[in-house]
Amino acid sequence: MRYCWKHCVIILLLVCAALCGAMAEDHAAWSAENERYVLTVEEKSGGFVLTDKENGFLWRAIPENAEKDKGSKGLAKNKLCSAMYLTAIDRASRKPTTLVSVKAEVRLEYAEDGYTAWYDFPDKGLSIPLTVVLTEDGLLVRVELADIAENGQYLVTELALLPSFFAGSPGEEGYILLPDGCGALMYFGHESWYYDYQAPVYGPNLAFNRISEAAPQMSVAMPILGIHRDNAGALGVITDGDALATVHALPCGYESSYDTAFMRFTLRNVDTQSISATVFQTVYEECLPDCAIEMRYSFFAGEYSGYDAMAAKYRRMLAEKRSSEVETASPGIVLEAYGAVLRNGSIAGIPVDRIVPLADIGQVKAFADAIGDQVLIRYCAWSKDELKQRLPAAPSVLGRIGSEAQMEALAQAYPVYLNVNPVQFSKAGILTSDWAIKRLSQELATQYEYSRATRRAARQKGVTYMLKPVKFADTAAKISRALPFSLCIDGAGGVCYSDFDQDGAFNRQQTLGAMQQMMQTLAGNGAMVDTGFAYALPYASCVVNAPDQSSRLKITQQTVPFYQLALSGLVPVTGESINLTDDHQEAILKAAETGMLLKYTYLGDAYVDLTGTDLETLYAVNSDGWAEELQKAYSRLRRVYDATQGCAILRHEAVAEAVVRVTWENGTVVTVNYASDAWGDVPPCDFTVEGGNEQ
Amino acid sequence: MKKLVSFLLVLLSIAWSAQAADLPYKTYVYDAYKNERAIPMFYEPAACETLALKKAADLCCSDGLIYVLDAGSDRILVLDRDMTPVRKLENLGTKSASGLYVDAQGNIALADTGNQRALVVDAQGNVLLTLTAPDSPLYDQQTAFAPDKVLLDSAGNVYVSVAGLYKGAVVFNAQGEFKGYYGGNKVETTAEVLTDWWWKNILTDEQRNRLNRSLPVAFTNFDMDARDFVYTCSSNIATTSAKVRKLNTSGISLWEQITDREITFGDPDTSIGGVTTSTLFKDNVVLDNGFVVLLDQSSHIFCYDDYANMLFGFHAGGAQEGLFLNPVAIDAIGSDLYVLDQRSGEITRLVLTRFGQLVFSALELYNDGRYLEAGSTWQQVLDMAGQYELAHVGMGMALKKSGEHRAAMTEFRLGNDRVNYSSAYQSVRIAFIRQYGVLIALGLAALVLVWKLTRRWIAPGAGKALSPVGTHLRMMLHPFGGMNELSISRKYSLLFAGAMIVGLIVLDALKFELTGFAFSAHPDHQPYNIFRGAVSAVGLIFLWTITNWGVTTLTDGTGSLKAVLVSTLYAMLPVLVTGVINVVLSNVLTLEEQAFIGWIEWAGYLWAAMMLISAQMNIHEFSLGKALRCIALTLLGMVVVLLLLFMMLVLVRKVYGIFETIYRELTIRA
Repeated sequence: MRYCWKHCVIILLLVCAALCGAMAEDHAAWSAENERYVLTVEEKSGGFVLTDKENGFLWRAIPENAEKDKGSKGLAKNKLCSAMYLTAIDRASRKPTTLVSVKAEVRLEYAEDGYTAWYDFPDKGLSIPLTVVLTEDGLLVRVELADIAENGQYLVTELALLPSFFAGSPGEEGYILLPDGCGALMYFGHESWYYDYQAPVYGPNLAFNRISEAAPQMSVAMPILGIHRDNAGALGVITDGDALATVHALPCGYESSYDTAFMRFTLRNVDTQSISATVFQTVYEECLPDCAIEMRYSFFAGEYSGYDAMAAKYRRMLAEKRSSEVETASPGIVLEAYGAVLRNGSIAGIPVDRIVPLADIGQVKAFADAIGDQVLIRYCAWSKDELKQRLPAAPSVLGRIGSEAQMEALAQAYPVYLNVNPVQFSKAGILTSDWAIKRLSQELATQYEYSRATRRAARQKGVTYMLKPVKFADTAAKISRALPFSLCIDGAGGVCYSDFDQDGAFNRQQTLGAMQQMMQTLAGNGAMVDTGFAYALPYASCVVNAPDQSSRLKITQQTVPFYQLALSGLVPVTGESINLTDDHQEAILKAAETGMLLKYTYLGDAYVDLTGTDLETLYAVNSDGWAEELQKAYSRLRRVYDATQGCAILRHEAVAEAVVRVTWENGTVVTVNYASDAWGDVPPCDFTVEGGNEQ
Repeated sequence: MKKLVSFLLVLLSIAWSAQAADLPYKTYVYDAYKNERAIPMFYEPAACETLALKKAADLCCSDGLIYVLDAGSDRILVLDRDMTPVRKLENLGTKSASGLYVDAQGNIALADTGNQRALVVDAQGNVLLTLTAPDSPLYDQQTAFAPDKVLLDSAGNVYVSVAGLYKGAVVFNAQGEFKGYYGGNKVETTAEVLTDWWWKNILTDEQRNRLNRSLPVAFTNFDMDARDFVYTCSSNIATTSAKVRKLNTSGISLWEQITDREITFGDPDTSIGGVTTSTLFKDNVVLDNGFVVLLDQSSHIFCYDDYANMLFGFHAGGAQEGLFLNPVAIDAIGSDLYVLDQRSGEITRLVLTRFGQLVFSALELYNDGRYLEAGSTWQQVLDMAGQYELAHVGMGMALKKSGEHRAAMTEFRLGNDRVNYSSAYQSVRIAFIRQYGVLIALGLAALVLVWKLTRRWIAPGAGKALSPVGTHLRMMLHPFGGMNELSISRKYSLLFAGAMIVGLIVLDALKFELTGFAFSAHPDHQPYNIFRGAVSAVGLIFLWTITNWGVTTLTDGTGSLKAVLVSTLYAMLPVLVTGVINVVLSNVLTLEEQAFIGWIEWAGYLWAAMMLISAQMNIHEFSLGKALRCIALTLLGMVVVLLLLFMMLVLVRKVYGIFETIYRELTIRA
C-alpha cells in the first residue's frame, strides 16, 4: 500500500513535469535561427532568449530568476522583469507615471527572422511595438516611434529599452562597460545603495535652463553599452535615435540584486515654465520624434570577448560610416596655439573688449620648427569673429597676429587647422532671438560657465547661445567660402541640443542630422574635430581633446581607453595637453599605450597674465624649454607610431600591477610600465615595442 | 568590515585612470579681490574604504592610525594608514557620542553627548576620566552639559566643546578639575546688536531683561597642533575673518592680529532668490606644517597656510571618487587627508598632486624665511599655474632677497601684494636717489635759476594767459572773500561749471588709471568705466545742488539754482587739486609714507567744506549757524531723495513684473 502511494506521487510529479514542459514549450513556441544564434521568444513577457551556438551561452532579455529577486520589490522588481518600461505624462494633470511592460497586455507578430511584441496599456490608451530581429552578428531591437499609439489621456515621454538585458546576476563575475568618458567598467557585485549613473548620450541637452550643475562629469561620447561575463561578451550600439538616449546604470543594491545598465530614450522633453515669480507650469513637447529607436547587439564568445573585442567591433561599425574621401592625419605632435585673448578694457572710460595678442604666426612657426617637422597646428583665437564669438562668421586672420599670406605660408610648412566654432556665439545678426535656440518655455536658452565654488551659473562671466539648427547650413557655407584653410571644428563635435522654438522646432536627433551635414560642408576632405562625439567621427581626420578619462564614478571600478581602442587605426586622437597635465611622463606613457598623439598648448613666448580671461584655465603658460621636451617625447613615441601606423589595437590587457600590454593587429606588442620598478625587460615608467613594423 | 571599493589597487593596476585631471575636482582660490580663480588640482583621491558603520560620527588620526567613532554601535574602529583594520574598542558605554580625539600617547577623549559627559579612555578602552557638568558658579547650570567635541593637550588638559555654550570650551585639567573656559568667540558687532545696545540704554531694567541677550556664537569644532595652538571653526558667524581662529594657550586669536590684509575664510556669501548662503564650517584639521584644512556643510574643502592665506578650495559633493554625500569629519596623517562620509560610511584618502606637493614645499621654505631656496620651487608652481598669486609673492620674495627689486616688484604686483611691492619699490627708490639724486638737485637748481633770470619776460605773458585760471585759484585761496565777491558780482560762469565737471570726471579717471599700484584699490586689469565715474563724481554734485536749492528756497535763501551749482563746484576745487597731487604722490611714496597722502586728502576735504560753508553764507545771505543747519538739512534731504528714488525703482520693477506676468499669462495660455 505504501509503495503504491509512493508510485502514485511519482506518477503525479511526472505528469506535472510533463505538463510544465509542454506549457514551457508552448511559451517558447516561436524561434528563429541562423548559423550562429537561435532566437526564442518568451510569449508571456514579449522578451527573448538568444542562444549563442558557439558557446551555448544564453542571453536573456529578462534575467531567468528576476521575479524571485530578493533585492527588489514593487516598481523596481517590475522594471527588472520587463522588456521595456516607459514614463507617460497625463495631458490634464501633467503628472508623470511609470508603466512597465510586465503589466501590459502582450500581442506578438512573427516574421521570418524576428518578431514584434505589442505592449498595450488599455487603461492609458497606449500601445508600444518592440521589434526584435535576428541578424548575422546578433540582434537588432527597434521601436518604430511612428507606430506608437497614444489614444488616451497619456503621452509617452520616456522609454527604457531592455532594462535588464545587460544584467549581472548576484554571485556572477563580470563587468558592464559604460561609455562614461573614454570608458569605464562597473564590475558585478560592488553593492551600492547610494549611487547610480545617468548620463545623456552626447552630453546634456543645452536647450534646458541649467542654472547649476552637479559635480562635473565626462560626457558620453559613444552610444554604446557592453557586458562581459563567463567568457562571453555583448555590445549594444544605438544605430538610430542615439541623440535621444540616456545611459542608465544601476549597481546591485541600488534597486535590485542585479547590476544593470540600459538605454533610456527621451521621446518628449518636459520642462517647467514660469508664469510669474511664484507660478509655474509643466510644459512638454507635443510630437514624437520622427525617427525610430534602434539598437544593434553583437555577441562575443571565448577569451577574446572583453572590452577590447567590443572596441574592435565598434571600430568596424565606425569605419563603415566613414567616407573614403576623408583623409587621416599623420602622427605627430598637435600644437594648439592661441593667437589672442579678449580682455575687458576701456577707451576713454567706455568699456570695450581689448584684444591681447598671444602667439602670433611667426612665433608659432618658430616654435613648430623647434619641435621638428611632425607637427600639426590647431590655431585657436586667430580671428576677431572667433575671439568675440560672433556668427555668422566670415573670419579673416587677425592683424595683430599676422597676415593672410603668413598664415598661408605656415599652412604650406605644416598642416594647419584653423579653429571655428559654428554653433556657439555671444553675438549674432541683429536680433539674438533669431539665431539662438529656445527652451520649451520659449525663452532663449542661455549658456553659462559655472562657478567652481558654487557650481552655479557664473553670470558675470557672460552669456552665450547655441545656434539654431535651421541656420547650420548657411553658417557652414559662409565659413567654408571665407576660409581656404583646413578647419578645426570646435563645438559642433561635442554638443547636441534641441530647439523648441514654436516656429520650427528641432529635436536632438534632427539637430544631430543637421550637425552632420554642417560638418560635411566644413570638413571637406577631413577636419580636426574637438571632443569627437561618435556622430562627428566620419568627418574627422584627427580628434583633439578626446575623452581620455572617465568621471571616476564610485559605481565603476576601472577606467578603460575604449574610445582610443575603437578609434585606433581609424582616426588619430589626442587627449589633454601635455603641459596642462599634472604628470608629463604619465601623459607620454598613456600616448604609448594607445598610440594617442601628444598635444601641447602654446600661448606665445612672452608671459601674459590670463587672470579673468576665457583662457584662465590654461594654467601653464611658460613655454621655456618645452620645444626640446616635446622633441624628446616624440622621438620616444615614434617607435610606437612607426610600428603601428594604420593598424588597430587588437588586445588591451593588464599583465601586472601598473603594467599594460597592448597587441596591435599587425602583431606589434607595446608593453607600458607605469610603475616605479622595472617589470621584466620594461624599465620603470617606460615602455617597450616588439614586432610589427618597428624599424 | 567589508572592503567594497579599493580603487587604490585599480589605480595601481591600470594606470590609465591614474592621471590626475581636473574633473571633477575643479579647484579654485580667491584672489586679493575675492574673485574666484581656477587653479590645478591640489588633492586627488587615492583610496576609499566602505565601513559597516551604523552612524559614523567622527574621525581622528594619531600616530599613523585612524580612529573612527561609530556612535550607532558604541565602538571605535582603529585602522592603519592604508585603512586596514587594526583593532576595535567596543561597548564603551557611550550614547550618541559625537566627538573623538586621540593624543600622541594613544589616550582617547570622547564627547559622550547622550550621557552628558566626556570620557578619557586609554588605548585599551579603560576609562581614565569621566567629566560631567562642573559644579562651579562659573558654569552656567542652565546649559545642559552635552559635549560635542573634545581635545586633549600635551599636558593632559581636556577641552570640551558643549553645544549651546557660548563662553568657549570647558577646560578640565588632567585630574578632571574644572579650570575655566577657553577661546570663546566675541559678540559680533552687527546692526542688530547695535540696535539692541541703543534700546538697552533707554529702556527700563524690566524692559531690558525682556530683550534678547547679545551672545557670541559657539564654535562648531576645533583641533590642536603639535605646539598646543588650538584652531576653532564656527558656522553661524557673520564675520568671515572669525570663522576660523588660531588661538594660543592664553586663548588669544593670532590671525586677528594680522592687519595688513583682509582675512576671510570659506566662500563669500551668495544670495539667490533672497536666500543668503554662507560657508558653515563643520570640521578642521591642522597639518604637521601648520596649514589648516577645513570642511564645510556643503562638502567644500578649503586649505589655509600658517598665515591664513588661502591655498585652495574645491567642491567635494558628488558621486565620484573623492567626492562625498555627507562628509562629517576630516583629519590627516602627514599631508594625506582622510574624510569620513556619514551617509555612505566611506573613508576616503586624498593625497597631494604634484602641484600640491610643490606648493606645500615652497610654502614651508617660505614660512621658514628661506625665500631664496623657495624661489626655484615657486617657479615650478608658476610653470603649472601662472595665475597663482601666492607663487608670485613667493617668487617676488626670492627676487627681492637676491637684490632684483624691479623684477620683485613685477612679481608682487602679479601677486597683488601691495605691502611687499611697496617695500621693493622703496629699495628701487633708494637706489635711484643714490644714483640720480645729485643730478636731480642740480636740475632743480638750474630750473630755479632759469626762472629767476627769465621771470621778467615770461611772467607778464604767462600771467595774462593764466589770468582766468588765476581768478578761480584765488577763489580757492580766499574762500570767504572770493565767495563774497562772486555773490556780489553774480558772475556764475557755466563754462567754469562745465570745466569743473569734466575736471572731476578726469580726476576720477586719473585716480583709477594712474594711482600707484601700492595705493590703488582695484585689480590691475579692471578697466575704467566712465559711467561709474560720472555718476559718482557728478551725480552727487547735482543731487547736492538740487536738494540744497530746494532746502534753501524753503529757508529764505537768496541763491539761485545756478548760483548753488557754480559755488558748489568752486568748493570742489581743493578736492580736484589735492586729488591730482595725491595721484602724483602715490607713484612716488611708499605705503609707510601713506600718511602724507591721507593728510593731503583730508586737507582737501576740509578746505572744500569750508568753501561750501562760505558759499552757503554768501549766496544765500545766511549766518554761519543757519548755513550749517542748511547743510545738515541738505544732507538729510539727499538721503530722503535717494530713498525715494530707490522706492520708485522698486515700484517700477513691481509694476513691470505685474505687466510681464499678465503678458506671459496671455501669451502662454492663449
